[in-house]
Amino acid sequence: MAELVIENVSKKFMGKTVLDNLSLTIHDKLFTTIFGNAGAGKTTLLRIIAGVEKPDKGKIYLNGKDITTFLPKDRNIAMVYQSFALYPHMTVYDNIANPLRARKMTKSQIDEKVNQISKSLGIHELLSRYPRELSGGQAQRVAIARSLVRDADVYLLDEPLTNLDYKIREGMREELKKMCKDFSATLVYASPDPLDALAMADRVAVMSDGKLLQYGPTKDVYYTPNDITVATIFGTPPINVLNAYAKEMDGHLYLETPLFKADVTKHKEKLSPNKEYKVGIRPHHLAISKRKVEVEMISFLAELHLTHVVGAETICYARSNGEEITIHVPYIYRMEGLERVYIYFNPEHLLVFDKDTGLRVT
Amino acid sequence: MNKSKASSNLIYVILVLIVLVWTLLPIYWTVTAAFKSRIEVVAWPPTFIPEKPTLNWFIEVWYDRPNINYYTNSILAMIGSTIIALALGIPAAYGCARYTFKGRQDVLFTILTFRFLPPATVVMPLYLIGRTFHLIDTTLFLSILYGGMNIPIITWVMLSYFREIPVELEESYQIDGYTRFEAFRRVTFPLARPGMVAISMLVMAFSFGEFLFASILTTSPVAKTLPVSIAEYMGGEWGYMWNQMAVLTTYGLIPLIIIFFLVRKNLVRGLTFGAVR
Amino acid sequence: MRKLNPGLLMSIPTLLFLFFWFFFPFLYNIYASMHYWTLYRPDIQFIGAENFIEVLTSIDFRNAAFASFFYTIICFAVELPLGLGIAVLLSREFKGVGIARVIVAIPILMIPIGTSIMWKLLTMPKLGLLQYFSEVLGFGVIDFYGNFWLASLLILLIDAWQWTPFFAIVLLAALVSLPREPYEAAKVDGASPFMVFTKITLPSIQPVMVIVSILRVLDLLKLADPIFVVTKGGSGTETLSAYIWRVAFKPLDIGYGGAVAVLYWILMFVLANILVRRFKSVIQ
Repeated sequence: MAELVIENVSKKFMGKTVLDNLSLTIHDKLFTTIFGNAGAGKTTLLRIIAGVEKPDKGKIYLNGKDITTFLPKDRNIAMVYQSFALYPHMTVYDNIANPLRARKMTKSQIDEKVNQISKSLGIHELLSRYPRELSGGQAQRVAIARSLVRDADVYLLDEPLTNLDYKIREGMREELKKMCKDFSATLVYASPDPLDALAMADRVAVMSDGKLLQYGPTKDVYYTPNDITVATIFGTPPINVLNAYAKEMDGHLYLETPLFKADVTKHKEKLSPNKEYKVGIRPHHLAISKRKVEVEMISFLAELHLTHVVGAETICYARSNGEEITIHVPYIYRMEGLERVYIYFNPEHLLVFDKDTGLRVT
Repeated sequence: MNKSKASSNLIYVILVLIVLVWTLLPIYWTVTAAFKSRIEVVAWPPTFIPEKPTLNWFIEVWYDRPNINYYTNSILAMIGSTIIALALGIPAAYGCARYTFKGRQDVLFTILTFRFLPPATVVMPLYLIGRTFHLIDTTLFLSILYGGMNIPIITWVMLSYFREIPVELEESYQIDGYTRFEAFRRVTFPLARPGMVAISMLVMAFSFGEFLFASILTTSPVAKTLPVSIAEYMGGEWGYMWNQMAVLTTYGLIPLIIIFFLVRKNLVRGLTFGAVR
Repeated sequence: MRKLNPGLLMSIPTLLFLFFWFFFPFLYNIYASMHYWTLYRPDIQFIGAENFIEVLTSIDFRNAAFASFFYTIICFAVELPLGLGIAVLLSREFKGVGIARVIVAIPILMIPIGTSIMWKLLTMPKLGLLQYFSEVLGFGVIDFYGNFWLASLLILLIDAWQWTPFFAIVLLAALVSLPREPYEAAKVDGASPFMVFTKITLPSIQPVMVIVSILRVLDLLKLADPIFVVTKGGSGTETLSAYIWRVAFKPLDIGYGGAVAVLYWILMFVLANILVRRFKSVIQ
């Protein structure tokens, strides 16, 4: 059982508040992502959990025990640094064996574990090399091996994929998720990339400016963000946001945007007429069609001016009535010059936010 | 194209040779003087190769004066001072490199200020203090003073080396299961060793050859050092005793050259004071 | 009790050590400088600034100050370019470069007194090898010891011989560790060797050059050993350090010596501050 409780943790660096009264519970055996932009406080949070940084205020509990004042070595927490932090003067073998040597295990025990973990990570042939001889991907695996070789309660990973090639990154996502399951590990993973969380994490904690904005199962946070900030930063490409005005007409409540009108009578209780709102629709909830679409979808005309193929999918950029819209389609779409298309979506996917507070309404 | 390269190569070789001759000539002259007879060393015209080389001086120099003691004292002072300088310089450097505290810049600046101090200005008071504490004519006193004089440079150099080593390495080592001190010992220290070795060489060269303090603060073979002895051969009834001075100078080269050879590899890596971008 | 920052804790013993062994004795000087105090007489009289006035009006003091500055400037002006040149020469890989580098480094390891003696032997009239060369070349005897300029030349030779390698070795290490890419790019751009040197090499090693220069300049201002051995301060070669020796130590006049010491130190401090402040941006 490894439950990590972060309670009211605050930290200031040279007058700047880096963590602001943060509280969070990391659950056992789950893959939790700490998500936020640069400067959100992710790395500081991880460092405080690991014990190399002390919070100004607040406590950390591991399995019910208060470890706030514990030295890193007594916490049974492993951490993989963004820069990998491999010891340059030691071989890969010695690097990986290091935590085991600290626990005074016997040479044969160490040997067995190091060989085992290096085989499962595919770095067994590199054991006698030195860190400077390794490629980025290899170095990262060694760093991960060093943390996995021990039986830690929590594994912290600080943006481990940021320094890697794009191609390797995708493969590593799969592997990390698999590792979490295979080792029944409790993983805390910090990243500014929403794709990391969406692909791997069971839970995500969205941070901004040292504050925790939302925490919950990844799907929930993604599809039902608490406020517009979460919706905007947690998602790539970023969510499309439009200004909307609530109007009552013939007994129905509509939200009017520059591009379309949506019937939101269903949510009459949560919305007030004659009020301004912001609405958001995620790019991948939008679809493109050459002809007008009927059925219960909302559609509008737009002019497509740029497409960007990524893997087997395409990000399309369109303009309509002065607004820029981003669409993410799960196939390859090649544009022949500027095109007029219909963009449509299921109104159920529309997110409505209060204009001033940014809180989600539906 | 080839022709100009060949001629520029030739100039290059000539320049290097000039530098080598310039460096070696005085040394050669001294070493040969050590082998010459008393008359030959002052012969005119001077002889390039000793006519009747003799090992006489090499042996006599140990007997005519207590040079064995002087030599040993120099070596002891050299070792003692290096230990003191490292023992006090490294913690200060590490503390200022890894921790931030109010007044850190001031601490560093203060330590550095001591390097501006001309030894000649404190030699008198130190003599008086030494007399009071019975430190006159002790190798300990010299070790303390030489060590102290070198603390600023050691602090300065090691500071930049420690800064170059990422903190994350030390942190990772602690997370692996060690204390901060062990992290320093097993990670930071080995990585900073080249720099340490380089600067220690300079410290040792300084301590071994220091003259001013030694000449005033020591009075007998108990603590007197080799440089003082060399200088003492400069006067007296026989005039300048070139042979003895040459021999002692040659002997003086040996310890440092030995150490130099032992640590050669570390030296080049360690000499940039961590300042090259 | 509030916990002390560990960094501060680690620095305190060092500071205490330095204060006790060097600062405290210096305070002694300040105290002594305001008294009439020689070790021959047990009585000490307070005479205020009298010592200082005597020092500042003494021609010998001013000559000594001049000598210190003069030697600092000329030695530095020779050693830096020479050291840089040697570093450049030895930065190329050629057969035997390793040995050459070792040989060039040896002078630093010599006992300075020994070096001075060596050069004395080389330049004694009717004795030294250099005098012989001079005679053969038709210049006759060179009076190194009676003439200020020639004596200064001798001091320069001694110091340059011993300490140019310091510049050379440090700059060499810096040159050798430079990354190769800028040079390759420059080659592609068609830059001349001179341009490469001035626009790429020099700026890259500038921090090291500044550090090593400041170190050497501060040490030069304390110049003493060669003076003692070679000229004993004669012919106007007496530097401040040698002056203190003569004036304070021989007659054991601590009062006067203290005053000189204080003024000397003020000089050093002011200069060092100027240098460090001026180059602060370059050093870290």
